[in-house]
Amino acid sequence: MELAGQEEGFRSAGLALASVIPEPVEVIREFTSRHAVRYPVLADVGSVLIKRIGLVDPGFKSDTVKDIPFAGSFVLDAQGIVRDKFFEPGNTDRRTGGSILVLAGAAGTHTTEIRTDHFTLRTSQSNVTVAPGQRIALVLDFEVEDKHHLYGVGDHSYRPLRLRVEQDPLLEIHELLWPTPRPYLFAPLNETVPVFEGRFRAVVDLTLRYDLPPGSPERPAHVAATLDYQVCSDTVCYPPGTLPLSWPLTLRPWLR
Amino acid sequence: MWQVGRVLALALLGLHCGPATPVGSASRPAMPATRSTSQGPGPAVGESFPAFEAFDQEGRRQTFESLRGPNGLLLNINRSVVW
Repeated sequence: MELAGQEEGFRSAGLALASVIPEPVEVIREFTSRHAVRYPVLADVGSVLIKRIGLVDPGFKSDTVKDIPFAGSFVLDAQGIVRDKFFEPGNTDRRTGGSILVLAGAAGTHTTEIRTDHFTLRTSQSNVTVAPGQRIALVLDFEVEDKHHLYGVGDHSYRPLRLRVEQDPLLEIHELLWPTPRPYLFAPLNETVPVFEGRFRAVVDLTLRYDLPPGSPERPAHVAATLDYQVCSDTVCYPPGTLPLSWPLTLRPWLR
Repeated sequence: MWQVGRVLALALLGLHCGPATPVGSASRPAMPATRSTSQGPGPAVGESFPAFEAFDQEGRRQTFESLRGPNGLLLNINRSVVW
């Protein structure tokens, strides 16, 4: 159902949505009708396509069902070439459609803007309402003032950009993704350091790990973090700073 | 809006096409340079997805050609709608 909620975002990118499930049409029809899923959901009875593309999960053992696929998504271009794919290692983990859009540069939801003296940071996220096992993305969009820069990790004495996410048992942090900093030569000191300038995005990839039995009420939560940074211009460096950050979540239970 | 859609389409279809531009620009921010999840089972990035056809929930026979949008298709594979 999360993917159905992202249909407009994919449509604006010219991408249609479809799902493949190894179950009969009538079973799928009842589900899509009940949950108002409008995009095509294909009944791959007998897992014909699933077997042809090598997606059968050999680790799935059952007395009642067979040829069950790994769950994930393919991004195909207009010629049917695979341009990207998203498959999670855990068999109950599911990357959200929203996180796919955010990784591609789409705006996140629930944006908060923080203005410092020399840069603006906008935090947002791929999803606010989440379910157990969903893999979502938290977004940090930076806009650095002209002729100023922030630092990447390297052999230097400046404080590099660093995001410290508070440990929380409901989160599994996978990776923090930054763009590639560029080498900046500060001639007066004859040092070359990695820097970030202008507009750039960082993304925190994480999976929600919690249990809420079906029928449980939704409950609020949040992801807390601290951003460390130091800003310099071509002529002066400012003291290092920190920013407290937070992303709200609404935890919902499994629907079935 | 159409310009935003075009930029997003190009980005979605270039997700796995090498490192992003390191310096941000006014038109498009620099994006994360690495993403480790372009792996997993099935056809690899760069390969043609095999032809397929199946019936959807409305009983319509669907193929890649009937499903795709102007810039392609996000094809989601799932295990069940029941369990």
